[in-house]
Amino acid sequence: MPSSKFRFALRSLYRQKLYTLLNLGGLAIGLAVAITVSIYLNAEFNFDKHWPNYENIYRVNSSFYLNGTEEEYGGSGSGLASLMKEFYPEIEEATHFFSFENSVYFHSDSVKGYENELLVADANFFKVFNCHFLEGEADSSLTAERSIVISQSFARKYFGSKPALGQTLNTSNFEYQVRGVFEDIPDNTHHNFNAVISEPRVASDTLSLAVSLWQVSHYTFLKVPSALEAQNVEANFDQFFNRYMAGMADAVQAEYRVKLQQISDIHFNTNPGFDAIGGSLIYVYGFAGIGLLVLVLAIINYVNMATARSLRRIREAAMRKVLGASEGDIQLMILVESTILSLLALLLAFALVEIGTKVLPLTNAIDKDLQLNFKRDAYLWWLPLVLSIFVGIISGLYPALSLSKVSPLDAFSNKKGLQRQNNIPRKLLVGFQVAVSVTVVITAFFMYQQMDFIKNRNLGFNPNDVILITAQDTNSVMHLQEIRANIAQSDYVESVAMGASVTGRGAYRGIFEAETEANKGFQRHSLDFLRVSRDYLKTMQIDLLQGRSFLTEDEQDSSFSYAIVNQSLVEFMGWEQPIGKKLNTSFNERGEAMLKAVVVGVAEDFNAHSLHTKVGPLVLLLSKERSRVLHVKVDPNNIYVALDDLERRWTSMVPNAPFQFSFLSRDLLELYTEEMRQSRLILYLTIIAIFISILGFVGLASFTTGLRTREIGIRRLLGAGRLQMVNIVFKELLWVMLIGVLIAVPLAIHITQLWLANFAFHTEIKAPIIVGTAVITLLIGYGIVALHSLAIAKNNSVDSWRDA
Amino acid sequence: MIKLHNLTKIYQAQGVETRALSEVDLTVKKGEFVSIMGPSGCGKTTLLNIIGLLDSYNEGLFVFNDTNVSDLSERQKLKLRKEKIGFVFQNFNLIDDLTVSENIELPLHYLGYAAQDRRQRVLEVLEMVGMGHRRDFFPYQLSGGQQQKVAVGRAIIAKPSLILADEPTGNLDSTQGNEIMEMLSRLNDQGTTLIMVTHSSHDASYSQRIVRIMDGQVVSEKKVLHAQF
Ligand SMILES: Nc1ncnc2c1ncn2[C@@H]1O[C@H](COP(=O)(O)OP(=O)(O)OP(=O)(O)O)[C@@H](O)[C@H]1O
Ligand SMILES: [Mg+2]
Repeated sequence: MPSSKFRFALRSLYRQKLYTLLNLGGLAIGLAVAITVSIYLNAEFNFDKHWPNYENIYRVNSSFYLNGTEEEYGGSGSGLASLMKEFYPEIEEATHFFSFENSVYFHSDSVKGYENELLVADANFFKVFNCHFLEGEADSSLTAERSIVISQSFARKYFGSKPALGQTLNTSNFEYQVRGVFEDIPDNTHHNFNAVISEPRVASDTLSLAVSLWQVSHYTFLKVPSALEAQNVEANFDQFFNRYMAGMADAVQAEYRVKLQQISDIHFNTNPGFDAIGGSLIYVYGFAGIGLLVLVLAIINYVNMATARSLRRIREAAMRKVLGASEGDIQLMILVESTILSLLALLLAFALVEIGTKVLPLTNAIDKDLQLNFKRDAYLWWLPLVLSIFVGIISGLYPALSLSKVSPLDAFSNKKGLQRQNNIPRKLLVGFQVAVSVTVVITAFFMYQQMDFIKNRNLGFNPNDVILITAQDTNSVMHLQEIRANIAQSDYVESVAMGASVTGRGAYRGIFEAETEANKGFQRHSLDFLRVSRDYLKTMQIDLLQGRSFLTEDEQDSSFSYAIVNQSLVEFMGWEQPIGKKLNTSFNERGEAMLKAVVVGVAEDFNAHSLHTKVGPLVLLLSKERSRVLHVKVDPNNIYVALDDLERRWTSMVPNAPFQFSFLSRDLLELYTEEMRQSRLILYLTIIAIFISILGFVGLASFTTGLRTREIGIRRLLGAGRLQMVNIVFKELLWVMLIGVLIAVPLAIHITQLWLANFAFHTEIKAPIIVGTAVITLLIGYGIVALHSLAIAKNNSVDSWRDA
Repeated sequence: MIKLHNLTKIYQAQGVETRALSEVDLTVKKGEFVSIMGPSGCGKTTLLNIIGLLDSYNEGLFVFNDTNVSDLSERQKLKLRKEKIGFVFQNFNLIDDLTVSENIELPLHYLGYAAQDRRQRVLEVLEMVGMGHRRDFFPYQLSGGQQQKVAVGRAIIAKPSLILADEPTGNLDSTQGNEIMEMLSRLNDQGTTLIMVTHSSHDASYSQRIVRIMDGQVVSEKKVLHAQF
């Protein structure tokens, strides 16, 4: 009996191929989206939970209090880890590390390449982060200088299948010994790493140790027995502060506190300053919502179509009853069929996820590891399985109940489907689908518009035709001045500016003493600043409003320098006469300013940070310190010739260091990777939502026209025009779509506003787009209805009224 | 086997009362072959449906195999129907998604036969109705006559004691119609009671008795004289 039920069910599905395909496809896509989103969510919500003892690992965050304002950082000073371990007996292990901002050039005997996600850590690193070691000893792996511990895939890349332990890896400056190989760590790690390099040993005196505690340069992690100890450490920090930090507190006029953050909490609660990029709960919930919505849409469709189809089986059910089927027999039959179908949809969904993640570059497109890994994530099979059985049952429930109640007499009657009464809930559901699709389409549109806006926005400086050359190693850093001079001589180079960071990607923040207008002496402020060289304004094409630019003779090695401030800073300080104002910074442990500068010019405001933030007060400090980056403005007509020339000049100066460059305009777009990923994701979801909604609408249209097949046939026979017939049906569906659109528009506007609020600079919501989307939706609906009615009118004009 | 006394059926639709059957008296003995004839709309199908326990009646007495039908629950009626009654219809009413043998087999499913017994019985019936060579065909691949043979096969598979046929030849040409009539009368010869609704006096001539109905009332009953053949 079960096997024949199965066979009948499959056959009945096979006989209605198109219907089955649509129905199955719709549900499969919905399930596939839900599965993919759940993989994504699972990764997001389990950040750093793969560490065996993640509940006991805490990061030490720093809070500085200055002028009554609090500044929070994810990082802390380099001396903190060892001092805290010494001071607090309850701390089991402590480590600190910092991560390379740039990629590093590595080469083994045969292989070379650039590597990202490198950490430099103290010897205790693997005592806190329990990686699984495949080669070498975790505890001793970082004790020797110039040691490197690499991930399995890193090892494979450079050493193939040979053991990596004991091999050497070279960068442009140093030679490292491989002291260990660990199993790759999952992507959902906040401070992700492919390799860890042992920290160079520096003899540190107490004074520099004390200074280091006030400078955020490292990430400090502690391992404690339980949350209680973590609280204790935080609560008793006063004693630590009094012992090690109070001495300098007066000099810098600031307070300092630590906050311990459990490692798995970091991802969604990153600190405003000095932290790796984290996740955003709003987006995660947003995607969860959209995924759920797509799934619900798909289920609604599925249930709708299954119901519509089953109503055509009234005669069959009645006949079965004549032949002796009980209500239970009919119910079982329908439920088995619908469950089989939904299980088939599940299989298809898994196939779709595989295709999406393996064949199509979906994983790349949204920058996440979205593998279907049943072994690692068992929920991936049982949850969808339960869900699809559930869908099978609910989709079969109404048909099963209604068909089992059919009177055997209906076997002889002319009823072919249920009457209108059932149509209203179906219409509402389709209205809901229209609402969702229109919402998603409008939102996606504005997201893309915002991305476009970012690409084309006037930043206050001109990133076009600016090539960035970043010195990666000490040798090139040391010779950067000369390299700059050399490059500036190239015929293809218009100007070169040297600096400590890439323009537009953020600024340093430091404490400044700024002279007040009213001669009330100095005020302390925490201000953004950039260290730049003399041709900076020219290279970046930033307008000068007052005073002068930097001059060649300004560039001297001394504790006295020059500054150009932006318009916002002038307003912030309330300066009437900005030129000649004094700015002091770089305070030593006695609170003395090591760098004194005088303002020589005022520049137009420009976006030193990403467009997420407003332009604030900014100081451009003429300073060679920490210079690493060359901004090279090249002749736009000869960019590639210029690049060749730059490389030739670079190599002639520092032959051992690889010539690495990038385009500033492209680098700036990286600031918006998260948003771009979101807009891509929403695009995919939009396509899927539209597809599913069209499916649903086709279902409703065919249901509605199906109910009126007879009427349409007869009207046609009596001479009704084609358009008139389409209109009859469309009128019935029009209000469904209108309600959908009416719900969608305010919703879309609201969501878009929320999203755009992330940007201090953003586009406007434009009415024509919204109206256009609504009109197009109605047109598509009309088209579907037209196709249906016309097909019916053409094919069955005689049959439809004769034996309907 | 069947005894109807003063049986009345009233339909209530759109406020209009239709007396489809009015005080019908009818007795059908075991092994009999009765034809029911009458103009369209006179209540033939209604009568057959009531006899087949598919429909209810408003007044009167209906005794089936010495049981008063009004005493039976729905469940008991279902049981009685699936064990004792087979149906044949004018428009065959086969299930499109099932093959010939599956259609024939269907009643056995609902009687809870074991797979082995079902198969055996289906083979026998296929042989009886001469559809063995089409056993894996679907209804739409068969002619009307063939479909009706399958329907007859389905009606007899559970070895019912009563077969109800509503215009079984109505959609068939005369050759196919005759084949079906031969088949039904063979069944009757083997002891199955048969009640058939028909418009054709030729078909009626296969039966032993013709009951004429007009406006829901039995107007005449007469024996068929087989000597005429
Ligand atoms: N479900 C129903 N609701 C209301 N009236 C009905 C219903 N079914 C049948 N009738 C009425 O009952 C009467 C008898 O119908 P029935 O189907 O028994 O006729 P019939 O003799 O089988 O006709 P035909 O030879 O055309 O098949 C008719 O007047 C019909 O209109
Ligand atoms: Mg009839």
